[in-house]
Amino acid sequence: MNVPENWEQVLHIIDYAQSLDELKRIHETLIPFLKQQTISVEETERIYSFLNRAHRGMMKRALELAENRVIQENAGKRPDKISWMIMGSGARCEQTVWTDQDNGIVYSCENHERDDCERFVERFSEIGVEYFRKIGYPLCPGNVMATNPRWRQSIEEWKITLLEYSSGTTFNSMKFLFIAIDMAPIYGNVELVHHLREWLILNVKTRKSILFQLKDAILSHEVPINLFGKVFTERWGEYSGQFDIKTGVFSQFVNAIKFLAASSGYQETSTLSRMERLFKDGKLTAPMYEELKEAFTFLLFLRVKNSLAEKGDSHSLDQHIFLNRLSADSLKRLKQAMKITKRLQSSIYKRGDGD
Amino acid sequence: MSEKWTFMMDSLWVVVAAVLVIGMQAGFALLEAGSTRMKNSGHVAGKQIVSFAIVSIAFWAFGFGLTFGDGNRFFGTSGWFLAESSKKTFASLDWANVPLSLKFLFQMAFAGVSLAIAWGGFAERAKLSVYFIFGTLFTVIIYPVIGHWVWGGGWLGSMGMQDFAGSTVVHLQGAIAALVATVLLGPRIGKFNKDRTPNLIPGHNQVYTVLGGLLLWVGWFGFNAGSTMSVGDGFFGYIALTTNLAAASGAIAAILTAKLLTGKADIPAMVNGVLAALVAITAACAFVEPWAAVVIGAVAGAFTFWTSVFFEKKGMDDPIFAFSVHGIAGMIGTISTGLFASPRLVEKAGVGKAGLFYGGGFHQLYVQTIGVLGAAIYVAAISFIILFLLKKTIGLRVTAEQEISGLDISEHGSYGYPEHLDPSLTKKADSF
Repeated sequence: MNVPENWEQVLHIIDYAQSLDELKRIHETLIPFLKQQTISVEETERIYSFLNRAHRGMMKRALELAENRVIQENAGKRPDKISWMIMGSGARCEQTVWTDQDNGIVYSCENHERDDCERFVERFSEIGVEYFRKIGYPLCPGNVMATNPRWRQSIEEWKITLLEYSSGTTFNSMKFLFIAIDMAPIYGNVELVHHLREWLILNVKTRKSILFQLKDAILSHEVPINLFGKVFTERWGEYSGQFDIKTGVFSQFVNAIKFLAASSGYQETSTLSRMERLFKDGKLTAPMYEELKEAFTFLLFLRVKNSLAEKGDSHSLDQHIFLNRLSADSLKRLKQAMKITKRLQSSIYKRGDGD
Repeated sequence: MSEKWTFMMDSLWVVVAAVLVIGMQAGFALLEAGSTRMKNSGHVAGKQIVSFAIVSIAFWAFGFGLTFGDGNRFFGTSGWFLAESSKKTFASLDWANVPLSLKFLFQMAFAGVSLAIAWGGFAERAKLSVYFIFGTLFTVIIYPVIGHWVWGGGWLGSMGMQDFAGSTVVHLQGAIAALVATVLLGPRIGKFNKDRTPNLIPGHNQVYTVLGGLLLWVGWFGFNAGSTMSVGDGFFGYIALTTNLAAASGAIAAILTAKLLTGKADIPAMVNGVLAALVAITAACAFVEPWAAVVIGAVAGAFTFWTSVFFEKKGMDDPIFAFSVHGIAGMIGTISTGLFASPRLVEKAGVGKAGLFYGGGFHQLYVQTIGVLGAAIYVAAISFIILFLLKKTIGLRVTAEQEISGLDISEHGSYGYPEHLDPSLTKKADSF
């Protein structure tokens, strides 16, 4: 497949893709296409905006093909309302070129049709996840996928499950709850997911015990930089000497902002929009907002730049970098972003429970 | 106090000190076994008895005579099997007012520690036969020569080298032998990836590692304070003080350095920091003021953590970090008296001159540096010759299959932890 010339062309060919092979080829052309683009900090927001529209377009097209196949197989009955949702970086519009799957399904059907509906939804999840894999989204190692009954439930079941998570009896409860806060619909009846997210965030906002536990969960991931600005790299293993952008700073930043937004009851899903809302509502000062935005944009830039590096298939999801290969300015900005993230965590720590 | 009472008390103190130093073998057994894998634990701990047994016999037969016997500036030439052919035979130890048997026991315990250190570089991959051959040769032709140079009337002692209890004589020697073994044996299987990045091979029991470290800390009071071999003037108490201060500052410096450099307050690093500090203060304990002991301990504890990470990055697999903990710290400690030796203590100990920071000029620093270089070069050369010849003849290393199976089963026929590693072995007994 020829490398597209511009973003509009990318989105156009996705909309008209007729097969999984075609979608896979489009996915693969994203790397050479991005390499032709100007990748800079200034262009980062625009790149992510298009890139995530492309991802959502490909997934949506794959799900249309999946649903057609379920209907052809005559597997059960399509629920009255069904929505395929994504979580993680996809939901936050922060996907780079290669990301693994994080998805789930929420549906609603009449009681008398329940068994038929469930058969349809289960088959849809199997085919959907498989189609995603075929077009270049590896399976989620943590099994956050619609094929896992934990992430595929009716709206009523979802509410019961999320309430169970909210009781926070295990560490995983908070982890799952935190993943669920990001849910964003990409296919089907979007209002189902919106309703569920509104209900969840209201629940989180009004229960101080949940906020307390969420706070505890996010603060347990320290930012690996010391008082003197030395960044801790991996000491052993195949990534020895390297720094993982995702687990070293990106996740901590995203989760801290997610916590602040959820505790304020915001429905926004992207980190940038969450920060903007926090600023508009006076929960972040202007200098703090500018500083956070600049730091986060730089982290997004670093991630997308790193995703274009040649690493081989088995390392396509890897976000490790050698710090000594960064320019002096980039290293300085990374350290600055890490220090800001640390400050962010510290300010969350100092908050009263659920403030 | 009458001469008889002095003799009795000194003798009692030396036997207590010797037992403390011999007890350090238990510390090494726990430290090394805890720092290595379960499949080698019986071997690593058990070889400590083999090692001490070899030293006990070989040092009695030849080592003690070569170290302290009357001879030339390079080695002793009399006193085999502790035989005193004349009053001059062990004149180098006349300053100690205790029976010859105790002088031997105490010094033999030192040689045992030096050899125990060397084994760190052999861990988890050397053949048992190598322990027998190298252990004997180390005790007879390596350790005694440096011991003689510094303590037996040799050329370094004549220059006024300050090594009160053996940062160089005991620790640096063992560490250099460990380094040569580390290089000639090569890394353990799986330690490094194809791109030379290191993998973590964690020890199987940090509690053992900590207990081993604590046992060594306690044993060190025999090592350093016992080296006075007398109780009359109470100087042993001062040495115990400097020794303890150094160990404490080494522990704190090491754990803080680990936290600062890696983000994690690594427990084995802290234990190694204690040991590095103890190694460093071993030469200096009688020559430096308490504040200097704190500084020396802290520098050794912090710096050797950094060197252990550095050497690992450079592709060296030293499983117990013997070279950093005993070698680098041994150098730091030996050279430290060239800086910190205080005039009042130098006068009391009666060896060498004051250090640079006390207006003693560069003389003592020069002597200490020469001592370190001389000892390191000799031990490295002889260790290399011995181990190279062994490598070319009987081989140093077990086969890959034996290494992967573990030395417990391949060299000794039974596991240190049979229920964990091969439950079928104990299945029948367990069924009763």
